[in-house]
Amino acid sequence: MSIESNKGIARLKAVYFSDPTKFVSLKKGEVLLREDEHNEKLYLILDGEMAGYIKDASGEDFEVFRSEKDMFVGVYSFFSEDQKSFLTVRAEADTKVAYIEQHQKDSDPNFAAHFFPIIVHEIYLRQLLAQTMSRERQAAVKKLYETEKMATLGQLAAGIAHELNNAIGVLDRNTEWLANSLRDYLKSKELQHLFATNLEEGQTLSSASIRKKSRSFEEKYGVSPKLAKQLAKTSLSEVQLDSLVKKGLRDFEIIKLVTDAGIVLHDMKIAASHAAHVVRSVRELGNAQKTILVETSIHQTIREALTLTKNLVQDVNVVIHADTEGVLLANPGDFVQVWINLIKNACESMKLAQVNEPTLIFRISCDVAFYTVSITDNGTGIAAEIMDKIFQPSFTTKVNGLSFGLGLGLSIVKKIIGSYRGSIAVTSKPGETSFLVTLPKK
Amino acid sequence: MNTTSKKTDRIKLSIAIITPVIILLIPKTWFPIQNLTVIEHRVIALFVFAAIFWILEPVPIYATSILIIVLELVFLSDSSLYPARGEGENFGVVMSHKEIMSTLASPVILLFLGGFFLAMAATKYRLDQNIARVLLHRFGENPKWVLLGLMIITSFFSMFMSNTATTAMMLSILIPVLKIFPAGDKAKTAFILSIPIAANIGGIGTPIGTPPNAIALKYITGATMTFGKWMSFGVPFVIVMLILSWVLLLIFFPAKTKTIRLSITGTFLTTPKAILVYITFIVTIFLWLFDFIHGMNAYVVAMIPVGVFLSLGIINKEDLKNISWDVLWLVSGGIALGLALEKTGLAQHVIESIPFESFSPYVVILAAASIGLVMANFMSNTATANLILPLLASLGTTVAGLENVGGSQLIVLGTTIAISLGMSLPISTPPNALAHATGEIYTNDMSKIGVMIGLIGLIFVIILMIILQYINFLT
Amino acid sequence: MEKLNIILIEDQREVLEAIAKDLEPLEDTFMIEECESAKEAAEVMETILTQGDYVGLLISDHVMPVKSGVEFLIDVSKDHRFPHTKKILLTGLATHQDTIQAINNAAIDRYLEKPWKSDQLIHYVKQLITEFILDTGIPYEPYLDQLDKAILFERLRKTT
Repeated sequence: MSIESNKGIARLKAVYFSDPTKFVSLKKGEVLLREDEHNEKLYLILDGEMAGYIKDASGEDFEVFRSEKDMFVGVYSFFSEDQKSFLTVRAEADTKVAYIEQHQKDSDPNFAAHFFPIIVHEIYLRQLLAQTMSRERQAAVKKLYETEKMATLGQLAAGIAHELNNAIGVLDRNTEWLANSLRDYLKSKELQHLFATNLEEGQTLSSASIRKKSRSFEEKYGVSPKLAKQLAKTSLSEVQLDSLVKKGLRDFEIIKLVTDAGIVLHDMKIAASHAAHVVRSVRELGNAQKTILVETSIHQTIREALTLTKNLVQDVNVVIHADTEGVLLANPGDFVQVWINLIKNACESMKLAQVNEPTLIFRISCDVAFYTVSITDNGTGIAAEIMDKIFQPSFTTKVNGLSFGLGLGLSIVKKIIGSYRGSIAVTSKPGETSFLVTLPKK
Repeated sequence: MNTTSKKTDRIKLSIAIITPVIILLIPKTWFPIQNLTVIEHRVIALFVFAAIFWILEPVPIYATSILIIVLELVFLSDSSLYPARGEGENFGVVMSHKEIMSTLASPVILLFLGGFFLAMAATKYRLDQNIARVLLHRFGENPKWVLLGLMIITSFFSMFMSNTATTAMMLSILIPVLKIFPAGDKAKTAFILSIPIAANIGGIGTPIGTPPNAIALKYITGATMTFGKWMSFGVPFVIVMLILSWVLLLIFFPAKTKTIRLSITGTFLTTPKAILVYITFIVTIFLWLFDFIHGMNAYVVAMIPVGVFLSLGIINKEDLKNISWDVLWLVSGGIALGLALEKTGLAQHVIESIPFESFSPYVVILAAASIGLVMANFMSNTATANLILPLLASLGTTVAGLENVGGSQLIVLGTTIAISLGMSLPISTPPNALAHATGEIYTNDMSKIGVMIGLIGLIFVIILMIILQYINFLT
Repeated sequence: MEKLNIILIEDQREVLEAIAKDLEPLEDTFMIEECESAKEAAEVMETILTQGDYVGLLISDHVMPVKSGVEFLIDVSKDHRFPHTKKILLTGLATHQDTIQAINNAAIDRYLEKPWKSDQLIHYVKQLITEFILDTGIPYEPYLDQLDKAILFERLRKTT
């Protein structure tokens, strides 16, 4: 309220609203004016707060304005022809008002001149209030809409997750069954071992090293490129290969079959578990679901995550400093997913920077009440301007969004850690980016 | 591809180069030929070179042809390398370099060029597919007759188009309908085999049907071999062979299916250019058949469609690139090789040195045709013709009583036909390779039918020659 | 017989193995090179070129770190040393915009969505390698059994 109108109010108060016989006190909730009732008075709030309501179509009260000290009530009915209140005015707190009557307006020649600016100001204030309320209402509606959308997405995700988990379950179980049956079927110890190794580890060589090996085998053993490549893809040692070739590759057919079978089944298991993780991540988006908590070793979950991201970290020097196993009650899958996301981000950053010796350091430590896990890489680092955005759900540096096996990024990480009442922080400069996860022990 | 085949490639090339060099290095006197000249010695080495290169194929067969021409120019011509030159009776007769070079544009080459232009225009304006569609329709839906229809159409086309292109076209019509045959119905094999068989046989029908015919034409000199005359024995022979193959296919691969419907969609193009193609096609064939009316021989007539199609833009620059120049040059090399044998006098010299008089003429005929047939089964028909026909042509009248069976020229004819009958393996001819590549037939089946057609065909060839001799065909 | 190479580019190791498994039947006829990144593929292509062999076909994943499949294929299509090399984009994320970009800028020959079917993949590979051989003018006979017959026959029909 401007000084000008303050002065005006003060003068009006002195001239018109100083008669104590025309003071009214209202308790909180008491009604001053009623909708559609006759009113011949103009009230000035001396103290307290009043609000005007109209009944909407459903009969509910709907707030139209709110007036405080030094504001007027009954403006419309006082100045209008029909002198009817168009709304109900109620005290929102214990309130004291002063009033003037209709005849004072008619008898005083200066009345209009005195009141006009003040009344205009009053109308202006009410307008402003109306606008603010409208904006708030829109925001509230939007928020409601978002919430509903997320809820729908959550339900949808839960539905899809159920269906997909069934399908993945079948693939996963049957892969395991097939792997077990095949292993039992294999007669010789060597083949069983070969199969188990490949089933456990999959193809550990990069395509480049397979190519290199296969070129050298082509020369060394004088075999066709196709056969050389098949030899290079096995997990056999050079000594084993030498004796195999010396025997004229008689047994190679079965060795190749067992190796391939092992790798294929391994890949199927990995794919099933990736699919399951993606499904989980999507479901997490909708609503947190209750899971059974078990005693979980943070160290163990990190190792699992490294296995799952094996192809990413194969060229990376990974170091784990574990002062403690970091045992707490949790769903191990949650943490595996957290680490996978962090590892994946780190590796991509290091790959992007084409770091000479990409290094990833895990450090697990604890104090009285908390475990602390830090993951440090020597990649490009995170630019300062996106630093505060990285935990937002929609944030990604990847142009094409999701990639296979990746969760939904750092927002999920934060959410999961949050659900264990933990926190995640990040510090970054080029060549050293650390994510620091703090988790309460209980 | 793999190291082993790389190794065999290297071995092949070494053998192909070293053998003729050894021939060149051994003293002339070691050869069972009296007074062998230096040039003749070189020609023997060149012939061995050509034979080994065409058989082992260390380089593409058309490249071998060009190598022959180059080697002749450098070592045998009147414009050869200085160190390669010589004088005197002992040195021998050199070849004219102009003559060697003109093999690249000899009349038979241009006859083939004319044939290529007709075939190219026909395929470009889909005349081939449309004729196939219309004709095939007339053979109903009984598998027996449809099979015959396919064979007749295929052989008809291959008289004017290359056997490979004809096979490709007909197989692409056939393959989509193969799935209507129930599993285990042998008729599928019959249908696929019918195409390459008919294409190979059809090539015999006209001088431009297949490249060996062109080489034969080169050696049937003196005698008046016209386009029409060739067709007058070629087409009946094709018909007889077709019926034989058809019967064989029906016997060995009977159909279980009661009906078969081959549907080819399309309509004849009626654009002015398309109509011009139809007219040119018909007119050219008429001119070829009725040379005795207008006086132009087949070679001259062949240039007419070339002129017409180029000037009207029916064949454009881009199409020109797609002419099978390799086929033309392959034939040129054969002609150049024959030229070397003839012009240096080696052929005559060899024939004189070998006591052919003691051979029965029938043995000679049977041997020539059989060798042609066997070789053609394992290597390119054209390369086979390139090697054998010049030798046969030189036989001349040296074999006593050969004139009783039509002289060397009739032997050339018979052998040429026998060469076209070599079709028992996938590698025998490109049509066989394409049919085999469909993956729908077994090599065994192809060999079974191929060998029978070859052997029975050989008998038919002898009979044909006896008939031709009896009616004094070539005089 | 010329050495014809088919190069697979896929950052996800398991997927790479799966594609290679599908194409195993072709391995007697063609060289199949497996690469885990566009960079690696570019190096392999360079080696092939220096050995005087052919890069007949590239099968690339779309979403890959550092350089995407579309970016890589665009690079190749601009490289005048590989004028006839055919390209298949294999993708789990076929969005409208990607498709347009891929077709317009990288001259993609086939677009294959994950999960792919083995016979569909092999069919495309055969078609494209046939076109490559015919476009390049390499003798087709040694590869005959593995070529797409429809394409081969149509081209041969037009030869003289």
